[in-house]
Amino acid sequence: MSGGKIAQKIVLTVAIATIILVGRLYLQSATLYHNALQLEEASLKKLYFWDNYKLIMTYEKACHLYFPLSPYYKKSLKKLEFLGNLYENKGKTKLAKYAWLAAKGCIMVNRSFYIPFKGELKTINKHIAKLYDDPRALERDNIKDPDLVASIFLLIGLFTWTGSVIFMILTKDKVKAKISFVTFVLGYMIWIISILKL
Amino acid sequence: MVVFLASFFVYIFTVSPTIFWRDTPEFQDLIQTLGISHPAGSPTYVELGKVFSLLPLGNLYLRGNLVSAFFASLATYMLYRILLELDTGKILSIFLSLFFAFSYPLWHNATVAEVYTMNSFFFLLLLYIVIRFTRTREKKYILLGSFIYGLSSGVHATVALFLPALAFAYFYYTPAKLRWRLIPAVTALFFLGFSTYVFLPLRAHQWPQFNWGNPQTLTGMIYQLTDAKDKGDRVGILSASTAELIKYIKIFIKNINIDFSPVVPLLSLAGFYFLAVENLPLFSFFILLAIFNILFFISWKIGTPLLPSHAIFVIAAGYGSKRIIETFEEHGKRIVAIAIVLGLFTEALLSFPRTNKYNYWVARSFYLPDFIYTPKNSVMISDASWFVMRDLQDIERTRDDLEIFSPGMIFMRDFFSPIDKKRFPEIADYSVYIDDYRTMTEFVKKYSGRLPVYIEISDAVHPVLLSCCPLLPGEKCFQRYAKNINFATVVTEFTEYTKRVINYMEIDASNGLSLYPDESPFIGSTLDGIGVFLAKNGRPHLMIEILKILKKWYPQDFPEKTFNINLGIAYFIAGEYKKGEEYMKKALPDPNAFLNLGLLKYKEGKYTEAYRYFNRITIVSGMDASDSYYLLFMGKTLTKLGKFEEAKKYLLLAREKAVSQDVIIDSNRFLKCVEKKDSKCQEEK
Repeated sequence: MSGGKIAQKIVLTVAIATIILVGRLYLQSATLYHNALQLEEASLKKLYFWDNYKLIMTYEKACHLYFPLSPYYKKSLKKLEFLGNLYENKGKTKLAKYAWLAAKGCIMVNRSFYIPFKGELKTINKHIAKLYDDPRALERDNIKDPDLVASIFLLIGLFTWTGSVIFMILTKDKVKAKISFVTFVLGYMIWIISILKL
Repeated sequence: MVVFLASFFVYIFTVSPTIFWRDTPEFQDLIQTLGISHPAGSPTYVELGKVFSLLPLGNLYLRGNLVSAFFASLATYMLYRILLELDTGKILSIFLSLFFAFSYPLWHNATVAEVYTMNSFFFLLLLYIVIRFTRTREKKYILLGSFIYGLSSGVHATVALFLPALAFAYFYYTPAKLRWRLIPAVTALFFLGFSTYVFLPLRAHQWPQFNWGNPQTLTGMIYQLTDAKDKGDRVGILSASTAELIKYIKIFIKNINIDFSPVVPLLSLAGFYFLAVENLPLFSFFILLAIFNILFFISWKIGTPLLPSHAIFVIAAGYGSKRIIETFEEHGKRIVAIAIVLGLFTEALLSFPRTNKYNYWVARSFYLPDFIYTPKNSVMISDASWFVMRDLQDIERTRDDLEIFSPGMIFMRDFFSPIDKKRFPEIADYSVYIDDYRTMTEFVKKYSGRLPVYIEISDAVHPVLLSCCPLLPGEKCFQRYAKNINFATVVTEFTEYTKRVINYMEIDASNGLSLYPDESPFIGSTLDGIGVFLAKNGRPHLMIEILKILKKWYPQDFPEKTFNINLGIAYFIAGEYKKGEEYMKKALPDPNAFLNLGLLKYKEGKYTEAYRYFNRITIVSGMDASDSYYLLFMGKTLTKLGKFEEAKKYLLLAREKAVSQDVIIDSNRFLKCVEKKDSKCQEEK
């Protein structure tokens, strides 16, 4: 099989695998969101703790199943914010704490090379700071994650140097092998420097 | 492509959407924070996993689990390629590789974040390269294999177990003129792959969230690479008696028949036979691979670390199937086809309920409320929940104000620890303190006045923690379940807590929760611990209720004996001695049953009977004679019986081995009575 065909197969496989994953995320978040909707009316009527705890939990779960353009992610997040405000206004502090933490968790737990709905954090943090009587919560988006750019370069470096070594071993072409040696050295350097910059 | 996608589809629809138990939270956290895992550091795993943490699909926990699903599918694909390479035929290779995919150990590990599926992939890739080499004798495969072997050591250090088989293949198959000449290149390429470990000291220097063993120093690196944390745990087989060995082998055979249905073991027996007759070198290579893996891990009694040998069994099954078909032609084909289809169906059917985690949220739900409702700026000393708490904090970033420790960070100097000079200057210098007890109590004394200290204690925890809560002012100490602390406020909180715990479980149950053996040590011991606490603090009937729930939830993990002992204790505490004795007697000859019956008789003033029970503990059940409670009560009973010389011996030993202040105080009081030869020694109220 030629290199082109192998690449084609890999791309097709990755595309199908992504569809499978998105399919699961969509199905499960839709089910959970609709379950929560069903719970909502009865739970909010009497504001019993455990009914409402379960309501927050169900929206929170739906919210944890993010993918770009997911309709249920945005809806669940908005619901959690709505619930947070509602409980806070009704003096249900324990429930309000959970709802606001769940809303923040929903944004942070789904971060990748970007943070979805990052703009919402400011408002959410204000509520958390108030509920926990902890002003530091306002400035506490100090994500202790490694530096994103350095992380991406680390991966580029790693794949470059390991790929170059494999290519050097497999190729019979001496010129290509020499070029691979240069990319190996470069990749290794990028890898080391990126680790130091994480 | 079909093999990869078929297994990937099944894994994706069964993968856990969130946190799971044991090491899973650690690995989920690591691929996001690029930290250092527990020994041996797993740099290749962490770096490859980072690719997944950058994908905007699902939450970060799920992406950690996705690493496993992806590599399990790749491992299945590699197995398919190996079977093709051994001329097994396309259809047969697809079915047999799916046998591997849907066996319980691989499927389970494909649904949670762990190193084992990536390890299986690298193992099978290496195997594929070696088999290509045995067929073509091209030296590029030797070089490639060396490099991949070095890289794979950064996933799981036990790849070292493959060395004898790889060395055998190298020396047997490499042409004589190349054999010694290639060694420098092979070694260099291995170390080049192995150099992924450079990641550890460089990253440790930046103190990531997880920094086990702090490998920025040479000592730290050696600690990591030699797995010093679990030294002594690993090669249990070397110290196993013949009877134990037979027991392990029986468990292994039973497990492999459940994990694969009996079809694979039977076909693999045929395969090994044909291989031994027709291709002895390849047979020897496979056997060497499998045998070291099996011997090293057989005492673990679970299939997960045995995945490499499971793959060998499937390869042998492929070889066996091929030969059966060739020998018996049409009949053989039919028999093999029926056996494989039925076997695969049975295997998948048996594995599915144990592996399906589509709706599995309980590990997160269980600890979440503690995370939300712990007072601000608390120090949490968590035991079983430590990984989960850290994962929640690092991934969701909602409670940065909490300091979350494991007891190991305080007791054991070789672990990584956030207790550095900057944050905790008065305790950072461990050398000041002479032992665990002093270290822990000094920590609590110095900091509890300033911070709410929150201690989780379960059955597995270091006993020193039990002694710490009395040192804390009541309001500041949110101790979940220990003894002897201010009752009024704490018992109320614990009663509430217990009801809460039961409620979470019910919430998840209503969302389709199913239970897995992995969780029982955590939830089981937690609820069990809470129950004991409540029982000792005036709520014994709540403990009885909890025990009955545990029995219902974990029928196989909460065996009859444990159930009876704990129920017996609960009834003793409730003052229903007859009922308690009845349950306790059902648990004999368990040492704890003897101990508790002895305690009961002691309490009733029947010292001769008490002595008889205590005496039988070491004779009948082989309980550790250095247990301080056993020694103390033996000493106390002998004092009551007027056997002072013997009593003195036990009481001195109890004091020496004491795990808490209570034992020391009680031993000292009875030693005074022994000195005075006073057999009516008064009990403390």
